[in-house]
Amino acid sequence: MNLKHIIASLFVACTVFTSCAVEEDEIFDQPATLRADATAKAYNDILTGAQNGWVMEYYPSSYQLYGGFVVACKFNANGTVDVTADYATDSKGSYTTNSLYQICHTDGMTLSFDTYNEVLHYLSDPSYDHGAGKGDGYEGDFDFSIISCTSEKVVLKGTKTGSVAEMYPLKTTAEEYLMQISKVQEESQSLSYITEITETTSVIYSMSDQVLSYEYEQGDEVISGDIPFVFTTTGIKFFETQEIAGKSVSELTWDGKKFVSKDGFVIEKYLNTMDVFMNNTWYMSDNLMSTGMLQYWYTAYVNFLVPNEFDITDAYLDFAQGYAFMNYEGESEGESYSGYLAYSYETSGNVIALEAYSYDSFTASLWSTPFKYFFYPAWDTFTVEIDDLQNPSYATLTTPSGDQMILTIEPMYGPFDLCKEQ
Amino acid sequence: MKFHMKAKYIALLACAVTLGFTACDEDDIDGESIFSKVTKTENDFDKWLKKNYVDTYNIEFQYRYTDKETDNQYNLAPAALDKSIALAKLTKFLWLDVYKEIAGDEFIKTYCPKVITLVGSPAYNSKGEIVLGTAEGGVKITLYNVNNLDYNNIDIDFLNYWYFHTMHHEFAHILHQTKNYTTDFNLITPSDYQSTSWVNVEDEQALQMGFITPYASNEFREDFVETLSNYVTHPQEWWDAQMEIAGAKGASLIQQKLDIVRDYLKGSWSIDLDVLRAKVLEKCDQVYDLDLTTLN
Repeated sequence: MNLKHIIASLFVACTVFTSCAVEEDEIFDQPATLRADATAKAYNDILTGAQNGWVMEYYPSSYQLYGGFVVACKFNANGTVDVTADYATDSKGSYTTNSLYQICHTDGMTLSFDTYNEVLHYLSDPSYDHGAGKGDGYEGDFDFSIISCTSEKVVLKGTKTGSVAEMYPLKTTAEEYLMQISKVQEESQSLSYITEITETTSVIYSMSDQVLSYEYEQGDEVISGDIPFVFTTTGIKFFETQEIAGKSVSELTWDGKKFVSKDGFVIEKYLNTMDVFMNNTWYMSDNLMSTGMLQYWYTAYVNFLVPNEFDITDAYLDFAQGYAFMNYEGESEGESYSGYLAYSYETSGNVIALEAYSYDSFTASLWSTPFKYFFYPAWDTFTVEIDDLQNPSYATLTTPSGDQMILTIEPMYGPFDLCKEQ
Repeated sequence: MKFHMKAKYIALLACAVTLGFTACDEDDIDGESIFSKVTKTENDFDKWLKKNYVDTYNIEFQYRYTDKETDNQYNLAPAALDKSIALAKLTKFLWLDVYKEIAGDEFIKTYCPKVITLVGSPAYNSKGEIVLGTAEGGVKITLYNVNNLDYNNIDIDFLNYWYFHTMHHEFAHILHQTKNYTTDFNLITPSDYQSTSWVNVEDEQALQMGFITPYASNEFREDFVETLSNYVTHPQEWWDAQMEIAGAKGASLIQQKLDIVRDYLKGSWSIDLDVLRAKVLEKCDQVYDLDLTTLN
């Protein structure tokens, strides 16, 4: 045997003897895809099996920047899902919308809400300018990896944010459940909250979305932070246990007046006049103005509204984006029109100073006429008093020279009723 | 002798190969497919798409959001089902059927992009700018902002701006990538192309330089397809108004480009640009009577 023969023989031997070497028993009885299909079907059976659907507390941002939202999903056998949420619910009921979903196995099992649902995608649609603004919105997910799935609990993880949400089967209808939450939200709504620690130390909170930002003094130090939370049927639940002024707090119950924890930690509404004033819409009427202010409106009425056949049906003051607005709505020759004058303002305690700042284009076109006197009563400095901070119905505004007007939450008279009578 | 040796090796090799291939013959083919059998529940729209898109044009119309089919540098939202239905009907009527009627069944089946993907929201980049639509290698077109389609109040300018201009634009790319146009086109305004600085070019400025839109000033291929897509999606009055703004010099340059586009379509594809445009505009007028909700 020369070398060539040896090589040739080896070659033959290798080919023959290795060809059947991979005779391994299959570990699984079915191919991976089929096993995944079976899992997807089993998960879908669990999701569609919950008669009242499921509810989840979902924090859309990876860093819980906007707090938590309560979303209810009822999965149907025909591949559709009905979705409603705490932000789509008020005391009158829930708004529910229907879209498609599927469980697919792309990167593990994924629950995908893959056609648009006005309620569900409110937390992820980049067209909204809430949250992080246009392009991001609330930054949430609509594709979720299914971490675990049983008929008692489904654990989901947002594929984009990694935020984990747990879904539980509802014992009542979604609407009943969410209306209980909505009741807590409406009753407890306030701009500021307070926890009195000692007679001289308090924690002051402000709320934006479902985040409580707090601040308090401890010795020479000012301690502050943000607490993401979610509303529950009984109160609020923090994203994670929080240390506030030496107390460990995770869940608080709303007792109709304040939030209370099991061991007596209390968060109450902290109402001050200016917050309440700036957080409401206030209607104006010539019936509720003292003479000094009324003369402006009378001038506008006689010299502009009457000769031009303008009728103002609503006049009101509100606040938005750092400005105060004096708004009007009305009719002229069968056409509706509206406009505003924006005022910049400065506040100090119960005193607010308003100064004309800018107007919309319609108002601008009338600025050279006596119509501008319409805006003069609010162009002043006022001391504000409100009848009831919890349930306000009217505010009294007094100028340094003693002129007064009363603004009401519900319109009590038409703005020019008195002028019209004269 | 040499030959003798060679024959021996060939025999050995043949033997080895035969043994190799026969040795595992006990592995029967498993009758079970490894491909997923769980398909999403087929709804009426899926059936309609099978008939009107897959069977007719061999196009996959992806209206359900699939992570891997979209651009993950953007935050996006899925398209709404009712809007997707309306857009599927509009796309067939205003785009596919137009080319089918003008250039024939075979033409549109051969050259149309094979995948149309819908996205509900616009795609916002970090500067807050919006992407209108994208195309990938002549195979796939992605249309954004589908959820803003108001099918009860059809606005043809909105449709053209957001969807159909994009589709004509991208389709024109496919055509010139298949059969190139004359390089004479590239020599009309050779030194005025702006590359990425096109974003700084105003409409009026572009026209005066001899570009129908600012984006056309990006580079000559974009210029070519912008000239085509803007011509076919706008009536003559619009075109004339643009030429007015362009001034004598700009208008003459754009006209030279249009002439090449016209010759190209005729010579390479036997399509008369003006007949194509007339058909597009005729269909645009009929769109108001189209039933955009019923799947029939």
